[in-house]
Amino acid sequence: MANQLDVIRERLLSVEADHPGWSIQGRASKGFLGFENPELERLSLNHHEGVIDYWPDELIIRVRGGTALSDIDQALKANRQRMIFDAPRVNGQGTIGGAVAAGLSGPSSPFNRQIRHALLGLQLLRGTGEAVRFGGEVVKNVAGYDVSRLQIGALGIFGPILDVSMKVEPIPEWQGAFAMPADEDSLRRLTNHKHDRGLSGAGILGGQIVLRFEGSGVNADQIRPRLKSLGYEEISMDMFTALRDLTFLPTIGWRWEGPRETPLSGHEIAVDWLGGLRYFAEQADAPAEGKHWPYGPDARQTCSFLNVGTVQHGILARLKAIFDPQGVFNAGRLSREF
Amino acid sequence: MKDGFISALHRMTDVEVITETTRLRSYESDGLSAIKGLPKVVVIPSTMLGLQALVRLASEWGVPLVARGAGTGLSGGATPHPDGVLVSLAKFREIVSIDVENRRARVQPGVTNLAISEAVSEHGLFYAPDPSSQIACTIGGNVAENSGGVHCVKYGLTLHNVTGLEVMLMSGERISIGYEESSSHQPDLLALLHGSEGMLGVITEVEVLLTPKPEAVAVILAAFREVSVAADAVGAIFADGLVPAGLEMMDRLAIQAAEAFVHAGYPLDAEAMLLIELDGTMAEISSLIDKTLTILKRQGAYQSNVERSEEGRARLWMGRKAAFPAVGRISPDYYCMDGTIPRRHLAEVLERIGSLSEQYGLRVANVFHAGDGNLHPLILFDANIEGELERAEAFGADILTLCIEFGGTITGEHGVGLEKINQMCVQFDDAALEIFHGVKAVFDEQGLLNPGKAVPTLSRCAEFGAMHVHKGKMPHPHLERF
Repeated sequence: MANQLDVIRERLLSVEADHPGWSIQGRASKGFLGFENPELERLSLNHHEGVIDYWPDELIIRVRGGTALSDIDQALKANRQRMIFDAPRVNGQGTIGGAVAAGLSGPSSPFNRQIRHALLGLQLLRGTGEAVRFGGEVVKNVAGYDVSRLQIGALGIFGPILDVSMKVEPIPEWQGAFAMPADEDSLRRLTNHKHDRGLSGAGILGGQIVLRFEGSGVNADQIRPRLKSLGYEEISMDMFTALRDLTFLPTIGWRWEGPRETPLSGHEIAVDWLGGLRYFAEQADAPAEGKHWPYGPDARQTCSFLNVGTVQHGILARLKAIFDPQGVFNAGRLSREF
Repeated sequence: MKDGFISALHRMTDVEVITETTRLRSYESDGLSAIKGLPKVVVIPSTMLGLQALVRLASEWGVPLVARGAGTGLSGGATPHPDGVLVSLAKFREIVSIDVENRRARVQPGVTNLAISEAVSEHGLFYAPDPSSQIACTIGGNVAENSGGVHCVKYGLTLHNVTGLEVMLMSGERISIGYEESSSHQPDLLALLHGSEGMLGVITEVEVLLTPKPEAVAVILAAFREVSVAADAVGAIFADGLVPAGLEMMDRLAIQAAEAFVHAGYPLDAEAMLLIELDGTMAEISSLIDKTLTILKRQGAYQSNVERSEEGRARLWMGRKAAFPAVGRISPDYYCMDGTIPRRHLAEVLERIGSLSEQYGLRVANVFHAGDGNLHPLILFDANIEGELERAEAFGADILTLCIEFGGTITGEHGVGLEKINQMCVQFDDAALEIFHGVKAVFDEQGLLNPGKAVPTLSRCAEFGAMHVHKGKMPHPHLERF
């Protein structure tokens, strides 16, 4: 456990007025998200780590922003608990602060298991060195604006996340993954399962339709024979770990999100969220309808990352000015304009 | 209010304008009737264009605007502004679309919470958040307050069950937020708008998530001889890996009031009881019941009744749902509080509330969402007795401070409104409050939307701090006090 707040603060305040600003970094696993501004100096939260509080009976944990997701997994597993969402561990790495800032909840997203379901509160560092706390450690809390959840997907533009309080959940009694070879009818087969009770992940990877179910042991006894009768085989969880951790990242250039019934183009490197999330090498291979984000090293340096309308863009620019009036954190990362 | 503004309102189309005092009285407060005041004018738009024209007019004239749904809020969030327009969204009652396949419904802000569940019931679906006022409260108000309810311990708050919003900004612009599977790669504005108490924009459409009705449901009533034992049993249930669909607690006074009112079959000799709702598949429900009964026995419940039939469950819930009016039968007035604390402190905080009850000489009935640690102490008083209202308010403020002391919050689901605005100074420091004001200005530069609610000014906190010095620490010490 290491509280590095003083070290981080000292570094922040020691620079000259003409300092170019900071690029916030945890374990350097999310570099593929957003514009990389080469002028910024790296501000590492890597060693600001550790579990601050953990109340297994409350299903609540508070950890420092630089805590590795794997360390959180380990602490929770000792009490048969887990994080609610599937935060990616890219190259096996990732911190909780990075997970919140990236806003990626992985295969569990369409099944009401997103970061926004877990996050209860956090502490943010401002350019002045001041640490400000928002939210708290209770599930029901409507005092003040929900500034904590505003940080989800913000790519750190509002400031470094010093600590995070979140709700966790018991590990289900049973989890099972199932696969069958993908074919021309894969999308229909996939979406046929969308209302299955206990479904917690559904995608296409490596030429296989993959499904994940979880729940109680008695549910397993019903689900297994039904999937077997449909031609599925039970497999290990590796495929879902790969979907979560984006193990195919080096091969993809674009992320696409859109209506799950949009026909497959045949160029998908991976499909998640019952068809609502797809990865492609080239933008031209992705359906035109829906949202596109550049993930490839060249595309993200040349294409806009923030994918919102003009009014929302203006709101976000003004919010950035409230949290970070000097514009010292992650300038340009989300939008080249702030 | 500037001369000519009301005349300008009268020239508008698609709106009803109310200025007669007798009619204005219907809008003088929300569910928190202790705080009231007549609005200058009430406007009821019948179309979105009418609403937009109104918002633009108010913006142009610099007139405050308070949006109101059904007026069931409990914190004074919809209390009128003395120089402002109160805009009622009551006519926006259309369910725009129901997408059974994707389990979504789009509704206008004036649709009641229960109407959504009723509209989708035939498809085996329901809208999960269920505040106790669900028969009357509107979805727009639910978003503004981020409402909870009995079942949010498992199914989440409004925030977790809304997938998209259309919001009218004070500029008159309408923006869409959400409406997609996930909010990846953009700051979560959808979350920011939830619980923002009508301060950032006017909700004009809501897309809600619909949840499949569970295959099987059971309710267990567990009776305890001691409040602290019941409180500890709550934590034990979660510690054993169970997440009930609802977990409510009532103390002796609440049990007796409810039983006398609706005869739900509650144990009159109990000091406290828990109502635990379990749901799941037909295959798993029996095992969930068995596990819960084992925990309850181990934790000291002297009686546990299981109801699986719809009728039996409804009977058990009837007492809980009638608890507030039941308490109203045994006291001329009551004041409902809404703090949340970590569950592990339930026993201690309830004991401290008992001590405060003795100190203030006012009875208190506890009936609350124990699974979330969301307390609803009902302070009993008689407003006709001089000083009792003030004593009840002071007692309530102490309860909220107690919640903060134990790592909780001043409001779990009712909102800050006007009621708890001073306690915001206790929960948040200046830096956080300054950011809240900044966020407000981003959306509403002139500060016209519901001004004076939810977020106190720093000078107000300085004045409040002077009255409430906690353990010798002066809050907001750098501010001058006059």
